[in-house]
Amino acid sequence: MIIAIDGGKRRISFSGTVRGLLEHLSLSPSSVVVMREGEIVTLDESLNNDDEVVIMSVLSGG
Amino acid sequence: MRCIHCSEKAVFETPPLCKSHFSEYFERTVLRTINDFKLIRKGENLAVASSGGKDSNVLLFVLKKLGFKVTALAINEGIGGYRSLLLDSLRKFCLQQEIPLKIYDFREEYGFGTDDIAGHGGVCRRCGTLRRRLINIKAASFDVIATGHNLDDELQSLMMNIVKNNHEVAARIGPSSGVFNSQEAARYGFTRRVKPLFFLSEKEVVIYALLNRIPMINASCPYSSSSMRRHLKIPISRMEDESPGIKRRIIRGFMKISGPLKKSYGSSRPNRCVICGQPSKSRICSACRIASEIEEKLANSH
Ligand code: SF4
Ligand SMILES: [Zn+2]
Ligand SMILES: [Zn+2]
Repeated sequence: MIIAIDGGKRRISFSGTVRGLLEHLSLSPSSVVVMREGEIVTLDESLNNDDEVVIMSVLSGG
Repeated sequence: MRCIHCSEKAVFETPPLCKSHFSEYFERTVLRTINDFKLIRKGENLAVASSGGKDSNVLLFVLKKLGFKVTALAINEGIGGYRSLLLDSLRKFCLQQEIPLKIYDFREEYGFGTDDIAGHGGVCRRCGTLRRRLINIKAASFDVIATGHNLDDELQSLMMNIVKNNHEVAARIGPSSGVFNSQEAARYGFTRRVKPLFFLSEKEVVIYALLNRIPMINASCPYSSSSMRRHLKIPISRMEDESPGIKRRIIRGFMKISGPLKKSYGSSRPNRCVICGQPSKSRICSACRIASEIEEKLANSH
């Protein structure tokens, strides 16, 4: 799976729910919005290893 | 996950809402905050303090959509590669949304920009104080100044002010704030400050922006130094993960005790700064003091 996060892209091997992915990456669900193909996905949705996922941090800025 | 109202695919979890029901919920929350706290009256002229960032863009968009008369007021502090980027985006957004926009420049108003005072220490405090005063002055002909502060900003401020022993400042946190509350502001002839996004989290603001194609530029100020605020963000969102809705419950709970708390500090008739006429506890306000300090320093360094 390709994940784009904070402007950088990386490839990881993962399949499971969005919640599982965030746990895997040690990210807090209330601090990010996850998108697949330009659509927001909720925590219970399943992701496949060939999905491209964008993770947007909502706590940016100063 | 399906929307609790229409069984479309949800874009939000607490509670599960689809795209259109989420936007509806968001707009309803803004309207309810405005009505419950009497933030804005019908027909009033609103100045939205605009940075070009997501919060003030969302605020402009939603207030216009709800039928309010909005003008975007922006300040160019003179921070190369940061504010210029945001202001370019703001110009396009306002043009597209048919929202009047006014931009005021630190260099024109004060004779220096934030880039010129970098390296003199305490950049953020000075820049922020000078920007707030400029917005206040330029918004004098409006009835209300609306700012894009959201639930997360306010919860962080509440915790920071309690920890730093600024209890009186903490007591004044609320959807209508600033140095004076709405009634006091009207009585003394100052423009009211209101925060219509007060009960909406940063995540909700981002989702609303995404769903309504509101620009979110990813840029952070090179001088940003609020490290305490940053350190609070992660533990607070972990708390929200464990117990969804806790942020709003804390702020709502606080609103129940803040009224009597505010009263206990009393409200004294504010002074006006003898130089700029803005509300001030002392004869000369902190913005005017900062401005003259900087002018002196810059003059000596030439
Ligand atoms: S982060 Fe600080 S220096 Fe940067 S614009 Fe805001 S107040 Fe000014
Ligand atoms: Zn729905
Ligand atoms: Zn002054």
